[in-house]
Amino acid sequence: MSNKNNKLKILLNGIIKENPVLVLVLGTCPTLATSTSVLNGVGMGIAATFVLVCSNIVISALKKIIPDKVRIPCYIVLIAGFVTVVQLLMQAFTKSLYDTLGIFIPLIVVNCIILGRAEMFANKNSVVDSALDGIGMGIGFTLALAAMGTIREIFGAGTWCGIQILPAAIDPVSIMTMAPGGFFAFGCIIALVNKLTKGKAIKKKSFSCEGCPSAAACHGAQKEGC
Amino acid sequence: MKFVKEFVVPAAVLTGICVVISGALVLTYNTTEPIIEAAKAAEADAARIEVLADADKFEKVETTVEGVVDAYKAVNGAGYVITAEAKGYGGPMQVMVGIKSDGTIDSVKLMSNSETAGLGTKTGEPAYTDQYKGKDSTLDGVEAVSGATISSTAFKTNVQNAFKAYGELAGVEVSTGDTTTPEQAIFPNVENFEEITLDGAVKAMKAGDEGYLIVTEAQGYMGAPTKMQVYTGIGLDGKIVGVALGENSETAGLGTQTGEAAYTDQYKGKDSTDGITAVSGATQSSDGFKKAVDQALQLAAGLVSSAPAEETSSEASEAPAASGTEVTLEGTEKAIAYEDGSMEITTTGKGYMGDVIVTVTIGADGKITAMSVNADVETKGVGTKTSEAAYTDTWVGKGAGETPDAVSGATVSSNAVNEAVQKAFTAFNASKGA
Repeated sequence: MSNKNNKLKILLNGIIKENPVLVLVLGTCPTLATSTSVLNGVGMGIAATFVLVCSNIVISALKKIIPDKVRIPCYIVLIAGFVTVVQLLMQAFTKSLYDTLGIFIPLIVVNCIILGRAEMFANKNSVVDSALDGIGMGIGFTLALAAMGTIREIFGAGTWCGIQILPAAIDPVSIMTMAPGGFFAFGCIIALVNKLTKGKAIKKKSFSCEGCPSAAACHGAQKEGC
Repeated sequence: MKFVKEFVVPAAVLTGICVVISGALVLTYNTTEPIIEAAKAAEADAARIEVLADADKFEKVETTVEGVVDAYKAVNGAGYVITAEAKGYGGPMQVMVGIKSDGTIDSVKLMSNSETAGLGTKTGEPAYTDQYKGKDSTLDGVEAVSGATISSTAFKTNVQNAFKAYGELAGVEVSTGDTTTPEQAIFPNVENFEEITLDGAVKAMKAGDEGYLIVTEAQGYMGAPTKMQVYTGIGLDGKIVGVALGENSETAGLGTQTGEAAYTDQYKGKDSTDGITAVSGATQSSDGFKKAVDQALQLAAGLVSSAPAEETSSEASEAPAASGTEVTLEGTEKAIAYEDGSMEITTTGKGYMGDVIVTVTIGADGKITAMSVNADVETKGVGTKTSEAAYTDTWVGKGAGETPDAVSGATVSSNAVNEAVQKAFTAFNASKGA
């Protein structure tokens, strides 16, 4: 029973509690760039989820084989490989989405969420758990993009998924589809999530020091962390 | 063992992973490549169908014409789509031309270019490209974009090159304009053109026994030293048989309209250039054309026996407009002094609506030999009558102070002409006398 609960917990983790975009603040760049419209954001989210799940599974499966010294290059090769596969598939089957997302598809390789989860979770947990974590994080990413996209598209273009929502007479606030509007919406949503989880979103324990980029300079490393 | 563990294993694992991943990529690539290629081809075909609506699929064909980037033939025989490249204003400019199987253009499209945004790029707009629809290889009547001459010329060159390629591919003769010479166009029935010498003309020919063809030059729109050449055919009765535009660097589609029938037809049957309406939007080219014809008429006066110009002093045939020297005379707008003592003076007089401009040629003997009046500002049909030959001819032979009858109903305008003429006489006498 607790096993099942555990699995569910892992899955739900990525959606609110440890939402990669809104709580862990990873993958900000593609978030801001592709959330100008809901469809673009969701498209990006699905592509990234696919890569995330695949890379999590493979990295978890190979965690005993990959030596610690070369783990980053290995992870990158794996992730890049999956991203290229996704790119070719999108170019062949979903050409219009491919054209819209443009350069952000290959940039999934350096999406911090993927490398971050590989480091924080996949190389320490079982394949099934890693897969579930990947799915959960992916859903969380996609939902965050959808939420951002909804706000930016409705206010910035008057539409939602291409359907006119705002009456045509009202001029949309086009700055919402640009960078400043993006940051504004981003900040507002993070604040909202913080409020909803009463600021307890990240438990220090689950944020392992090994995964933190500033571990080398941090005095609190190996102790309680940040 | 430690060595192996520390160095060999990591390298081996990394290499292994790379190999596996590469294999997976090759697999995916091979699977998706045909789909991607087909999609690209369809996109390119769709772009081509934009300029050749009746086509569906295309196949690439080879052509040797210079300036052509690629050529595609419509599989269903609808025609050809040819992309040509020429140097525009800011760099190479590509134009895609769809030519139907009947040799006329379906559509044209501006492709990659580095033209000035808002000026040269206007050649890509429907206002300009729509002109090409339905045109054949002569591209008759295509007007350049005002203010974007170089871009327009490059665009036109591209279309012409596309036609050349079309000619090669379809195996048809493609004519890029009229190949009859100007003299043949003016005197279609004359077979024998004999060259004669005529001072002041670029070239002169006797046209059989119908008259003379005189080629003169004048400043058009383009600044010196570029001139525009005009062919004037004058019959034995002194009247213009026809005119044609020769070598020129006028703006394609604007100044070059002076070469078109709509403008040149005006001259037929006239014995002077009075009343010629300039081409709208090509005033300077039209003025240059007119000046050249005036020159030709003057030169012809000496050749043609019954020309009215004969009544003026014999100096007319020896006084080509080009050999005078400009002088500054007080009270005049312009003054040219000729070797034989005569002067051509331009003055103004206050007319009914504004200034009337009079250009009068006063012979060495102080009598008027020729006169032209620009009374465009005056009331049409009333004051403007002072510019007509019927009135200006009455001044010929008059000396200072001698005034012919005014035009009935246009007293003020006639007085203005008189005022101007007398000013000219004063200036003339001043330059001769004191």
